[in-house]
Amino acid sequence: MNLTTAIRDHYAVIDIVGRLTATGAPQLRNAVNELIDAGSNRIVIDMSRTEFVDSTGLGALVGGLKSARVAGGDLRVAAVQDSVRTVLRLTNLDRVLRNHETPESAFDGR
Amino acid sequence: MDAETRSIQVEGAADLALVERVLDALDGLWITAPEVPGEDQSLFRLAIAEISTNVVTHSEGHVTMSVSARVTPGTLHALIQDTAAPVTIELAAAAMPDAEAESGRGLALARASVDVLEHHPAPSGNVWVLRRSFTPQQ
Repeated sequence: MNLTTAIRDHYAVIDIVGRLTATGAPQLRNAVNELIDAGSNRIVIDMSRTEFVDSTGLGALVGGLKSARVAGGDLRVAAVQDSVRTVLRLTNLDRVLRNHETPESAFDGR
Repeated sequence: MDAETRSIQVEGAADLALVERVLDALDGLWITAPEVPGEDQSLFRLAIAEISTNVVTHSEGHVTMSVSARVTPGTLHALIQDTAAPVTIELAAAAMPDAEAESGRGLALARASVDVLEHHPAPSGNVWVLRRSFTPQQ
């Protein structure tokens, strides 16, 4: 997994390339915490190149969502691939981690 | 083994790097099995990832793990064996936790992703058997 963070005007984007599993999940948790500590509490996870997510990866996404909300912001997912969308649906997480078409549109409207 | 069967096997010390090697090997297996639909590939891969990660995270001391998977006409098979102390696991009790939970989804997710998921304590460790049927695509 390769993870990069970018700060945009009104939100931050974490781009995850490859597989989000137990190996990479701590890296995602750290990236979210660093953003929040630096004052960015509106976070989009760009999953357009995330080919696989397992339960540990889901745990890191849920943890990040909770941290962002506690900080007064939100964490949203964008451009989720079909295989990952299936996992979100099986775990009933598609309701709290609703897919947005693009990272740019994830915080449209609010 | 007949010509219709394609398989992989990965074994070594039970750590997360081994799980990644298993996932790499599965990527290669799917290239040799284009008749397996994408959803069957990804759910079977998910179940293997969950069970092998479960073995790694619950292993204490020096434990080795062997993961094999094969494609036969209409069925995906996997066998995951470890050398950890044999345990009893109530698979039927593995329920999906609520959306706020940050852990505890692994076994429930594995169970939802395959048709057969069995765990057997064995004299030398633990054996997991996974199977998923698929309808070949053209």
